[in-house]
Amino acid sequence: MGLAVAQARMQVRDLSGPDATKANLDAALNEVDPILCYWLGHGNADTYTVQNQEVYMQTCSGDEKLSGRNVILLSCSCGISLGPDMASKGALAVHAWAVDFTWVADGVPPDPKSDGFFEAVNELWFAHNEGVLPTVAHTRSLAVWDKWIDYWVASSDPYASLVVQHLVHDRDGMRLFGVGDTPSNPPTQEIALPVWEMPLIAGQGLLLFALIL
Amino acid sequence: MSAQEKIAKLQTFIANNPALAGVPFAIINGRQLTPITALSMLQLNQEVPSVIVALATLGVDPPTLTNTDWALAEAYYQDLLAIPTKAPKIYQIKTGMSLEDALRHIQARDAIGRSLVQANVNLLTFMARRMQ
Repeated sequence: MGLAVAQARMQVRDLSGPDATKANLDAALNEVDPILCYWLGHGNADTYTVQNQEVYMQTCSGDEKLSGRNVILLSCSCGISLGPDMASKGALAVHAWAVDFTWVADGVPPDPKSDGFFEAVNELWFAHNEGVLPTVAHTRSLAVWDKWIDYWVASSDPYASLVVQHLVHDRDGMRLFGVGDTPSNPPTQEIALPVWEMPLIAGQGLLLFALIL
Repeated sequence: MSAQEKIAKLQTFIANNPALAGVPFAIINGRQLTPITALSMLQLNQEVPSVIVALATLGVDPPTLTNTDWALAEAYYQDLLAIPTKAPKIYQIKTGMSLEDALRHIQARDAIGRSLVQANVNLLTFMARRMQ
């Protein structure tokens, strides 16, 4: 399921590249008031940044804007402090990573070695899109990580262990904070609550982001 | 990690894991130590050295990498580099890192190298689990 299918069930505001500025993001939050936000960008334990590494939010300030929303925060190490802080300030559920998110690839996606990383991350988005609880989305993503780990463990590719290493690293670093009892989308309705997400399907988006910067 | 940093880490842990905040993990002078009591004792400056030692068993400090961990990771990347086919890269959001670069970071024992070594340690832990 891709972005087009997602848009059939959700109203999507897509801000990427030069559009991913703090001002534009704030405007989108105010205008659309989304229940689900999919963030993609550089970060660390306390900080999330947008285009050109403009600081968007930190543990001390800015993350309160995510109160009342479900959040997918694909950014290095934000699951250490920023994610839990966000949840403590009222974010409904926060999917984040307590490690630097890394992946292995031979080239530009779609790439066999990187497929599993992004399928696992995107499973969060797909699950929210389908209207399941965030806790279920987390479990579904873990299952995808496990599926790809099992696949690569059985592979004869000479670099398979490197893929396994980073799949395990990202899977074990994935966290879910917050109560997690509010779905982003009613499961039985055609047209859902307004939703805004960060730019692209993460697999391709990550690499494009790298190429842009 | 300073006592203040341990206090902050305990506060975060308790806030995020309330169900685990009262679980005893050590005994000091006959008194059960839970994350809540440990936090209280640090804040009240009571038996701080003993509490800090006990907290180490709870993993409050960053994981310590041994020389063996570094050597194993270095050997692992050297083995990968010896494979006579085009090697993949390791990516974070902004940058792709070649295996040669990865090995250099490990040999330099810098922050990226530390992260790579930790990933290798985790892989070995994963292997141990699958051995069961």
